[in-house]
Amino acid sequence: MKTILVTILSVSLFAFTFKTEPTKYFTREANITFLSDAPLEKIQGINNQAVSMLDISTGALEFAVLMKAFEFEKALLQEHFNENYVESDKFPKANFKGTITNFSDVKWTVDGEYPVTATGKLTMHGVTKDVTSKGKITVNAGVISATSTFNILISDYNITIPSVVKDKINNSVKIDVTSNYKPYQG
Amino acid sequence: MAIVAGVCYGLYEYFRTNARTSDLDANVKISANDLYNAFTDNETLADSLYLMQVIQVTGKVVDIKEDTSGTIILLDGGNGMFGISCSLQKTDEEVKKVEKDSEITIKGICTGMLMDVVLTRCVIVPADKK
Repeated sequence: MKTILVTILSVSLFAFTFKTEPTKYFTREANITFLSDAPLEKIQGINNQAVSMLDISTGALEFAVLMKAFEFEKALLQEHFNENYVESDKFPKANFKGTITNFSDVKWTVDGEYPVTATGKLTMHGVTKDVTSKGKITVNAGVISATSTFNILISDYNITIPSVVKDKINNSVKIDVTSNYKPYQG
Repeated sequence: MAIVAGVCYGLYEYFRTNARTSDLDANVKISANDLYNAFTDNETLADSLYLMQVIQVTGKVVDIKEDTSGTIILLDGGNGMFGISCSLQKTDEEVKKVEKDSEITIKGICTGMLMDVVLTRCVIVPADKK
């Protein structure tokens, strides 16, 4: 009996000693919004089903999004966005693969707000470009969230704006990203 | 007269919003398991069958996530972690009645697969309309 108790205690102590905090975090509900603010029209697309993975041990950060899942207020804009601009039949997904360069400045288990910089490659419409954006990591009661706002030029991604609508679509598009992560169980 | 009709049509088109999913007939009725497996087995084939189609999918609720932009309901795909991610309007009263582990039927537009199969503009299908 004593031997069994010692064994159980030893195993428990071993498990406790080597219990590790998760290092990979995931969300399937990241919110990505883009805004084109042109003289004649503001166009906003919203997607709240982007996927993101964050590895807090390396700072690795990835996002993936389905272009057809962007929602617009006007159906015609959504159709033009998919058919004429991002050509979502041909290029259905966009993704970002990069790292939080100053990830070691973030105290991942201590509540607080931490300014961060992410750098990596954004692929959209079949074109990959280097992107650097500033953002913020928030740790609140063990929940990790990330926000960032940055601008891209759609001409960088071989998306052409016909001259007839150049006052309705801004070549510089503002991207807002918000993700609330939970530990990845995979 | 033709000019007036043309202007009216142009304005109608410009201000047209997406049709309400509740008003659309489902092109496909399928279980969450079968839809998830179709995409994991052959994404290209599944895209050709389901992309931008009105899909009515039935499955077990494994997660409900509400935020400022709406509600995401995850239906079990039989994989353990991934399945069918369904985006619903925050204003949808039926969403408030949904409970985790219950079996429900949702109708939405299939936009493809990331880690889950993604349905947008979803509505809950009442039991008497399945």
